Amino acid sequence: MGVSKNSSCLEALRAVVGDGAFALEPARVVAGGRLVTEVAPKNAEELSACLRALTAEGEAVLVEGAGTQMNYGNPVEGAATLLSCRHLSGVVEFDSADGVIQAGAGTPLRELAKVVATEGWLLPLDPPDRGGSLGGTLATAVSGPRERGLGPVRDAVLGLDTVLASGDRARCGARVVKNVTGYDMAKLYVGSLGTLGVIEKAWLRLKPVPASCRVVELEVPRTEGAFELALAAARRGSARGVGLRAGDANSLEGPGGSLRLVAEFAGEAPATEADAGWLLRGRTACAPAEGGMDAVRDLQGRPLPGGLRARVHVLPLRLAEAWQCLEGPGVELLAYPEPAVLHARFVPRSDGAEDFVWLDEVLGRLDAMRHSLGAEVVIDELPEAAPGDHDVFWGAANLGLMRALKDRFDPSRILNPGRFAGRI
Amino acid sequence: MSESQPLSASTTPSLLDRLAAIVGEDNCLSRPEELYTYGCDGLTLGSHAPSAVVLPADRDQVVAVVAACRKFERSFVPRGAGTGLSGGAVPMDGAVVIGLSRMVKIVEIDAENRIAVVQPGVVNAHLSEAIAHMGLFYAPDPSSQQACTIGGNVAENSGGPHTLKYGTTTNHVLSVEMVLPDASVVRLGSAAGFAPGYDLVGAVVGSEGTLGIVTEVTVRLVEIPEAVETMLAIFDDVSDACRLVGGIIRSGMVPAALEVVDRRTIRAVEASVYAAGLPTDAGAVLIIELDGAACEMQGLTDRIRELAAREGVRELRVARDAEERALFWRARKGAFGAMGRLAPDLYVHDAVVPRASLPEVLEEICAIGDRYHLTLSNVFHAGDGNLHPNISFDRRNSEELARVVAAGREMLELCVRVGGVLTGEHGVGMEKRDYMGLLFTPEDLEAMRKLRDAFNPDGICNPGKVIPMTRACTEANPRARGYDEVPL
Repeated sequence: MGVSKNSSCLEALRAVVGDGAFALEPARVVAGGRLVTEVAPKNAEELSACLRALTAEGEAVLVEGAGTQMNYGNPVEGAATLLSCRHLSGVVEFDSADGVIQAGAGTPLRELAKVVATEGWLLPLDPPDRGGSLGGTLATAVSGPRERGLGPVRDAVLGLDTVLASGDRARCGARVVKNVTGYDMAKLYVGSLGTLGVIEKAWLRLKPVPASCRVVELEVPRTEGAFELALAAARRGSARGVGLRAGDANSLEGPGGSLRLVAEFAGEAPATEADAGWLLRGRTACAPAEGGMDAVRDLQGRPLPGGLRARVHVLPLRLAEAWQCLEGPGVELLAYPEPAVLHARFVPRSDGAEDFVWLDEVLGRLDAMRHSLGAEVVIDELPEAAPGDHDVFWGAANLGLMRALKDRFDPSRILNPGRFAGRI
Repeated sequence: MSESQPLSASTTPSLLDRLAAIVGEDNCLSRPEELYTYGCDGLTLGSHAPSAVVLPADRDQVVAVVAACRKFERSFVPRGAGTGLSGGAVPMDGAVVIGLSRMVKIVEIDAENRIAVVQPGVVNAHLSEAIAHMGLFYAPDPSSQQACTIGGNVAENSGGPHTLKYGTTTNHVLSVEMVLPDASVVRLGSAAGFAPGYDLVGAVVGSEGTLGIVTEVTVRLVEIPEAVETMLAIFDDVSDACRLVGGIIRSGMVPAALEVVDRRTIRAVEASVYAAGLPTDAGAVLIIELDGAACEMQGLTDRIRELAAREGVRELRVARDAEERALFWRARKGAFGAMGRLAPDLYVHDAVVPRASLPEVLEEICAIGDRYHLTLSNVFHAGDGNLHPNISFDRRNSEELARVVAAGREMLELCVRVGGVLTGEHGVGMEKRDYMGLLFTPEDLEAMRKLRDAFNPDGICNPGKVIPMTRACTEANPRARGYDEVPL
């Protein structure tokens, strides 16, 4: 990208947001992009004007919320401008009687959770990355271990205000909890990694804070059906989340080893007590690890510099097989039984930065497992220096339809080009 | 509303012959008396006869029918059981109706993974019946569930009384197989619950048959709860019933259902075969259904009692057994049938408002009904804020029909004014297409058009629905305009 183009882009953005656009010196290298300009609009009007100017300049942008998930997705192609949503922040409206809230995309998730908690509500978003923004959480749509009870990210969204690449502001949904007025556009934006439009603000449906919450931790020998037990626990009425990881009792995994099962039950006290009691019947609980299910969530989200983190979605009854396919030295596994997801962390096994033999072997195993189990695989983190050209969203089908959408929503491909599945 | 001319064999031999060759003579309807049935769905405000009706037996026949329609430049409309209430299955512009009612196979039930694969013509209730012995059910339960199909539910993103706890169809569909308007076949989503890329299943559910024809659906199954407690709270005033709904929501309880039946509906029901022993002098009844673990029922019931007393409940009945539960629900489920006693036709309106505003909105809706001298009754999903003002009328009286339409619009304007929307479960269809501007800007609608055009670029699939056809749009898309003009 030529210098003159960048400077004309900066000028165009300055005309819109003044000091809200500035040169990055030195350039920031983020998500594969070398960024020399940053723009941080303060409201929807500015965001709209920025995108209109960027489209006119044909200038691609990397969209950022809190900047905590910039390693997720494929490298951005040809973006020299960072579009930060951090100033699109704050609660717009909180209807505590109805259990709904509207907030700006840049609002920190933690702050939002605190606001709703003051009125007895729970934010049903519990992604592995707690430091993120609302917009980033919706755009990435990666769930943590409590998806069983809280629902997937898409279910929390009642309505979105978005700004398209053209600068057009498009609203979908509303503040009400049931709605089929027109197409369910919010489904398209959620999880699309900012490639169809920029989320400006969102209406969310809240859940009541449960009256009671019980966490049970067990060491379960694998020979005694740890996966079956975990699935049965996840199917108890008050189960909010269940996680399985390698046990502490033995350092070596394998058929003879044990697994640590963490189950969180939330709801009415009699139900959580009954479900916890059911799980503990004939078994001895171990001393709970600090943090309970939060610790499981943090384990899922913990970055692995230089290593590879993969997310595997399978049918619940295939989870044990998926685990067996991937386990081995240097692999840390974390499984959620329903919806069944296996998080795998592959620690780099070589000191030589150029030696990626291990990576080829890992990718080969993941691919073989994907085919044999009919699993869906996403690479959540790939070593920065990894050779080759890996689309981290494996096996995306229907690329024709997806490209047709991208062509219509962002014909100049200025929004996060290349980052999403199929390098859309 | 105009009646399109049916295709007759003399004018359209090639397309009719082709369609009959694909699905068989018996499954290709073209006589006017056969076509008449397919001129409307559950919305009876108007009728548009199709040019032909085909009833394919499988996906390959759907593909061949779509390809034939495309070749002859004739638009087509998918149809399930025709129970829709917004005219979504009405064939505008002499479209060919593709009825999925023969595709009724439950392809697979995988109880261990809690999924089922069904063809689109499977009747909603039949799936739950087929899996009940496994302790499972299919959660979305529209009031028409004894007749409506899962394919139709996917098109409309159908809800039902138990949406409050279990969500609507979109929360239960994992994957669909679909014939696109270009006659290609795609499989969207994944039984594993995640597919890389855009959430195309999420976009298709609720798209009212305008993006293609769903030929197979993979749905999530839910465990039948251990215990169910059904209560009937009887109030002198419907506003108090609505306030109890607000109180329950605010308390943090999530009942399976919260349904209000108002005074006029009670009277109609009690005078009908659906009589449930409700006091006809009551202002409203609220059906409260809780489900979950047996051990939590008592505590929840006690809390409901407390809240109900605070709102001045006249009487709170708790169903003693399944029989009494069924009786309580009879008042709710029989309401539409009972209203047949009031007038020959019933316009079942549908809108959603923030739950806290229910008492005020309901009062204003009744005032609108009075102002237009209409017979109005209300039976609705109060827990979702989903109103169903029902207007009894006689469509042969054109002056009354005009009042029904005008009052309906005013009710929608009111709901939008308080932050509500045009429809909670019936869809936009043709009924509310031209009201979309009440809620959405041209830019909002243009974004929806982009989605439709990605799937259905020339508008051949279910034209004239959901998105208003602006003049500019029609001019930009002459083929969409011209389908009714193309001689076959």
